[in-house]
Amino acid sequence: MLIEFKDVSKSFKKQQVLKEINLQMKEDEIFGIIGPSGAGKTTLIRLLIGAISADEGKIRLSDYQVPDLKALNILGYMPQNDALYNDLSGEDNLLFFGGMYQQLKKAELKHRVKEVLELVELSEDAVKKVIHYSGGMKKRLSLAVALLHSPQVLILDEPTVGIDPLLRKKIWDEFYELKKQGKTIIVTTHVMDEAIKCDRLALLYNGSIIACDEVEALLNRTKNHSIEELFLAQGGKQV
Amino acid sequence: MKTWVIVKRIIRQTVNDKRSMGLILIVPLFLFTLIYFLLGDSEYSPTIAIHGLPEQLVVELKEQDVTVIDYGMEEGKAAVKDETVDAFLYLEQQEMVLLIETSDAVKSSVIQKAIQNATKELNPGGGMRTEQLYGDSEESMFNNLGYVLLGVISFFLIFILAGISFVRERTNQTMERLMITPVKRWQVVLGYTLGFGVFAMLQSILLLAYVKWVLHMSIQGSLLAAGCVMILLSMTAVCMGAFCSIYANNEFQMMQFIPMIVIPQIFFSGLISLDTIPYHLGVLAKVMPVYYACDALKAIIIKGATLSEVVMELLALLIFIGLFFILNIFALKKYRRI
Ligand SMILES: Nc1ncnc2c1ncn2[C@@H]1O[C@H](COP(=O)(O)OP(=O)(O)O)[C@@H](O)[C@H]1O
Ligand SMILES: [Mg+2]
Repeated sequence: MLIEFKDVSKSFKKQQVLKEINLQMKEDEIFGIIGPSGAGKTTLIRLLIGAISADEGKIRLSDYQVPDLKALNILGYMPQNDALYNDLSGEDNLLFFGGMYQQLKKAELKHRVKEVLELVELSEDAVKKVIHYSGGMKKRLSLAVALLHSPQVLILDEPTVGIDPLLRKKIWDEFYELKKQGKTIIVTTHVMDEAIKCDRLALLYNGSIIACDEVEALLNRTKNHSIEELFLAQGGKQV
Repeated sequence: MKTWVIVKRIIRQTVNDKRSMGLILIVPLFLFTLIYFLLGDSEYSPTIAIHGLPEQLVVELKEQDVTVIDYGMEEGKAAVKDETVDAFLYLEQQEMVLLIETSDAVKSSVIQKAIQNATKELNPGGGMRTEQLYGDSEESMFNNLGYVLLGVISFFLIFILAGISFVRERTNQTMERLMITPVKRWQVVLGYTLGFGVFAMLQSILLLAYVKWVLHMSIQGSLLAAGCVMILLSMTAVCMGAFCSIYANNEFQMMQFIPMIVIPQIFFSGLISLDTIPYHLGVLAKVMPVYYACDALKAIIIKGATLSEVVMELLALLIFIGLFFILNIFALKKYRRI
């Protein structure tokens, strides 16, 4: 197992946001976390990257116990909001974040920047300031930043919100490609269509994992072959 | 190496943001020009009562565009009190005394300047005692104004610039993103401090050059020393601005630090004589960087101190920088515990 959550709980002030989460993620898989907004998806991810600490339980990433500075070398993270420097060009954003990884030497970094810009179709807008980007363009640039240093584990918080269907397909093709290369991809989403593209899926509801299995297996549990039903079975609200 | 990447990014980002550049480079020059016109070359010509002054000095005073009226000793003092004249200049046991009504700092500055210019010709280095009708401070309010503003304005602008930039990094979450790269916390703090430090330095040098060579403010002591003080003070502003931004969730909350952090420092910057502050509140100045900077600037600009004479003040500023630098490294734990 590459990543393991063991009895992880997290509260903000009095509100318990995550309750005894147990999860395992393997190498070369696309792991989806689906849940309604406010379920705790972002919190789960921020725990994994070490931005916040768990109240209870342990999180292991490869050989490291989170938080560990070395673990950050193998992580790529795309936050839910874009988190980019608005006063810099797209290219400068990439060069900056790339500069934070030792493994990327200067010439190699330049090459990678070109590559990822092409991948997210921003080559022509590379020198524009991010402040002049549209919402979708920012999202793509943010993805490019996460991909830049070819991380072993790629963590994406609602990556395709606001991206048109054509590009979304292209991005998913890239995810499959990365998976083939043996990388782990963790995606959160609240969209069913997207969730079923994953290999395995965890259903997060009110801070608890209500189901976690291969997508096919999950779908087979329901009458209508839809994930909504699993949430509805919890007496929960429509996702 | 990573530190350098951060420094470069800060510089590029700030240069790309025209408003920030204006705040650093144009605003202080504008403010000083404004102050210069408010305090300096006004049309106002003072009326001074005199008593027992040498003939030559009276001539020189008239040259300085001062209306001079000869009065008796008691008459003169009374005239200042009921404001029929702006000041009373008289000789008392070979010492020249200026009695001035201090409620108007601008007027008193014009008067003092005129008298200084007049006596410079006759008796360079000759002393003059200034007595104020209100308050018993030896120094006039105005004498302090120039160097105080130099310190305060520079601190204020850089504090705002660094603080707001940090808050923005928080609100658009670039800070969180940066902290999940394998960069070390000290590298981030050093990068930011140096990055904004470049602008702090640029501003200090520009501002000093401007007041010296364009506005012709007289700087008696070493220009280098004044530069060092200004640069260290604005570096302190960078570190303190960054630190305060941790307790601000948005730009407006950052602005709320101005009355808490910046304005008290103005009070303790030497604008008000510390000895006259009741309840020994004057000791509070010891925890305020602007106090040390203004103290040093005063020594340099007015008393002609050299670099070695303001070492203690420079050291105090360095301690502030070091202290807040370390605090900032700890403060970043908020984003990453390691
Ligand atoms: N830093 C925080 N402080 C307080 N409450 C938080 C914080 N972050 C998230 N929450 C709360 O935790 C819950 C889950 O949030 P989040 O993980 O962002 O959900 P999701 O990403 O699934 O939409 C929400 O109720 C949110 O208000
Ligand atoms: Mg979220």
